[in-house]
Amino acid sequence: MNDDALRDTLRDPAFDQGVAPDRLLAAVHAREERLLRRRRTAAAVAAAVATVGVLAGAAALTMRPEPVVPAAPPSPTSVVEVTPVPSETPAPTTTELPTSRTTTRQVPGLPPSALPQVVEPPRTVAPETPPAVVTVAPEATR
Amino acid sequence: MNEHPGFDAFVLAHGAELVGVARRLTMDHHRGEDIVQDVLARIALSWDRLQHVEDMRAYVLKAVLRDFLSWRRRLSSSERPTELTPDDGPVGPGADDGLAARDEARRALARLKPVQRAVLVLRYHHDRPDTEIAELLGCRESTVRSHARRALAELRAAGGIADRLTEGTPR
Repeated sequence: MNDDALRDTLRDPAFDQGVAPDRLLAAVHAREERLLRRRRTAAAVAAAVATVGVLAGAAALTMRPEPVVPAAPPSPTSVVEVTPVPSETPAPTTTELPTSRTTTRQVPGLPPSALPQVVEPPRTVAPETPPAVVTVAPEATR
Repeated sequence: MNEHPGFDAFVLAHGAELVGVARRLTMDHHRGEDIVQDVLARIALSWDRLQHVEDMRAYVLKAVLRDFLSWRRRLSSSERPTELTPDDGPVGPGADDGLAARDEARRALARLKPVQRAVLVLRYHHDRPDTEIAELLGCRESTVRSHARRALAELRAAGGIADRLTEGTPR
């Protein structure tokens, strides 16, 4: 195919026939409206997905357990403190019953209480004769 | 939806021309209209932001070209043009003596790679220099020449088309 033939083919007026500008404009507007509706839907879906993502992320952050930090291995040179082993005997507990506080008051009709009288025991008189010494055999005590 | 009177005037003035270009690129009337409607609808949505564009016709032509070459367009062409119906008039080649020859030439063109066809359309229909074609396609000038050379070789290899086409095509 030479250049002229190619040019003639491409310049065929049939390619330009049957196009009504006003109908093309109406078709473009219909498609524009459809495209606009699709974009709005896509934007709404994107916003919903973003909201769900944010909420899920926040929930995951709040529900995440505390990170477990491994304990540092003890160094061999460090001094190991020996903690006292608790004794097997339980700690002493008080078995006393709680004492109830009592208040005393004097009954008005009674005579005032006197101090307790202490009766001195009678004096013992030393005997004049020494007591007899009794010796007891060892067999008798058993 | 007449929010952009400037846009409507633009479509009324240049819409038919753009559809013609897209039909030549696709070698398919319906796909050509589909591309133009799609591109114009997207431009309508951003018409207010495009007021700084000096040459809107060139801008839209470039958008049509890019859309035709885009991977998205090649993967899917589920969208069908609306409103434009076949009863608007004859959309195929005219019923003249060279009908068969033209059909054969168009089939040979349709078998080319999209980028090769775009180079041929810009070079032989729009008479654009290779430098400008390279800028429009976003490639180097040597790549444009390479595409054109391979496309012409494939058309020649189609066999015997040139003679019949020359006989049947009005000059």
